[in-house]
Amino acid sequence: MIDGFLAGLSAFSSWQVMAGLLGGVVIGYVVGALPGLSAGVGMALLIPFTFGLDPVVSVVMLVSLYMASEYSGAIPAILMNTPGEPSSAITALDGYPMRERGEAGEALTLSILGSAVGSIISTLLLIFTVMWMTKIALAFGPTEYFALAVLGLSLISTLAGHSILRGFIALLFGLLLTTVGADPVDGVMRYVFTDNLLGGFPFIAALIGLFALSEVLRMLESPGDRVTPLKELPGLTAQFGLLKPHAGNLVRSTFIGYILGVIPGAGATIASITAYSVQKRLSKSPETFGKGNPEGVVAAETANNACMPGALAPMLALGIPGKASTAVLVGALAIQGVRPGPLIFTQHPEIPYSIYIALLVGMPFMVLLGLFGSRLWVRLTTIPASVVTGIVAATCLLGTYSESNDIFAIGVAVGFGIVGYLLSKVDIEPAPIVLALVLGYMMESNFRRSLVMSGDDMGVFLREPISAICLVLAAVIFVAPLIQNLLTWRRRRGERDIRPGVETEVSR
Amino acid sequence: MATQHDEPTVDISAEHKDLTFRLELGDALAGAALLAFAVTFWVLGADIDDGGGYGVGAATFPRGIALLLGIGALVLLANGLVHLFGPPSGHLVTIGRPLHVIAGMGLMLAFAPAMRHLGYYPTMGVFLAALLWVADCRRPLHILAYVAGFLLFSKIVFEMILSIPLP
Repeated sequence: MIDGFLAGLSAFSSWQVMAGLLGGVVIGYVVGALPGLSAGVGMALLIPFTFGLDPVVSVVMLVSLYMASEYSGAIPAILMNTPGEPSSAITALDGYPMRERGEAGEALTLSILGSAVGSIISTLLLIFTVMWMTKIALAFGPTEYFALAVLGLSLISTLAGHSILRGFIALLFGLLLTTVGADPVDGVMRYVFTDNLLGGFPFIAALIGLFALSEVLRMLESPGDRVTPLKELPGLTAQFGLLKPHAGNLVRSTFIGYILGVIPGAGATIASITAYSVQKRLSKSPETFGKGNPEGVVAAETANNACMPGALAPMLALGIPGKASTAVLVGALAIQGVRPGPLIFTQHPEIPYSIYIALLVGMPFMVLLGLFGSRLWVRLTTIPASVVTGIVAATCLLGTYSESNDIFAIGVAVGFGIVGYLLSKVDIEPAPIVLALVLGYMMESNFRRSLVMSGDDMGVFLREPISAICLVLAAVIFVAPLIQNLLTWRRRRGERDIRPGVETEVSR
Repeated sequence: MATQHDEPTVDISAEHKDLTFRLELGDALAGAALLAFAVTFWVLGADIDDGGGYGVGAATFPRGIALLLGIGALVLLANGLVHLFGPPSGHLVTIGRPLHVIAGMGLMLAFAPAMRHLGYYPTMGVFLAALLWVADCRRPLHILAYVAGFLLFSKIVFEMILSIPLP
């Protein structure tokens, strides 16, 4: 390990590597902040420019782009309720209400510092546990993935708002939408009314519609000359102090992000949702989640950035890309003649150790850019609402098109925007729909694959230990709020019986 | 605006031009729409090739979900109807400036077909100018500046730097 680090450090003595690092961070900031452009797309667009570069410069540039874009998706999520990256949708749940209270600066500060802590601790975990963690990743087959998806869906009760029924309806609506397109096992077409739906509804378009375009319609409800009040940010040192009350949240969310990042296919969105839900359950004020609780911003951002080093573990140790961004990274390394896998640590030690160093060295630069930048970006909130409405809508439509080069995707985004707006009027929130869109395909495909492999034996889900643990946990999480609701209802009924003259409001 | 004690089902306030109605009515409408959606998926699911109907096939999952959504939507609809004819709960749904919202929806819905026929730049120019107007930005020079700035941003960032062709 020491030799590897020395090889990595010697590579970092060249100015080209440092220029690649800084260039990657800046490009990553821009790519992540533009709705529709994900880290994977940004990296793919950058690859042609890395052909002539040294392999270390190339990989450092791509990894720092990946790291920066995972964070910067939070900026439009907080300022405009428009997630720059899918995982930032969870950040928007509390970040945007904070911005509406004039606390955009605090939300941006917490998001960058949470991201930094998550990324640095997760990188250290990656360095020391890379080989061990890949064994866990390999233990996941279809049965375990199905159980993991069910566990993810069980978190619905934390995203459902104040009505479990409405949360379930939103979840089922989202799940039904994931069944459009080719069936995941036999390839049979389902509900395909146009060729554009062969691959199902485009996820990014749906996400932009549900969060951003529905918000544009809500903004049209109020006069356009209003300006959000803006609370002043404290000095730079005091900005760091904002993170002080969140120490436990940071540690928990980092571990959740790292572990879920290692599992191929799980991804930053699931990590954010899980960390958010765990924090809501442990919080002293869970009722303020979704209404601008800073704990929600810290949990979501810490987990989604801790996920990124975790995703590098199976890629480096086994050559398995767990997500689109790491697949692009494998492609970029292949172009340079480097093959990720167990031998990379002996044949090209400078590559993995340069990645580790890039993650550790790039983060402070990213934090400084984020802390100074947050003072500038919060000024955006002082722009009149009419201008913000127009620019957000235009950016969303442009971003949706550029993600897929398909005009049909714009129609999907608009459709989801209108449906999301109308459903939110009757308290059916978009977050459970997004959760279902993320997990629906994963759940169905792995459920059916498990049954095919086991000869239609349903018992397989309880025989595998990881699967059984996930399903039992899911059952507890599903049932606990229902029991809690029942107990609350009985207590209220008891109080009403004691004081029959007092009218109590019907709980919806 | 309607109060809890004297609460009509639907109220279009003349003063603020807001559309206000009881949540129960919204529940009934949303429940009916979602029920229709679930029934459509259930019925169309019968035509999916399910490999002879043995075991779990391509239609099982969507039809199962459609059934559950149908039940949930039916509960929402029934709950809404029961409370709609009962005493008001005091929960109201308000759509502020409904004409502005409808105009915004119309502009968004027209964007994709217009872009297919006219191309990106003319469509975005007209869309952004119209949406800014609907959102109360009423100074023509400001609108012109915002539209020109955004189109320039599209050209430089998306077409020139990111090499994403815009039709």
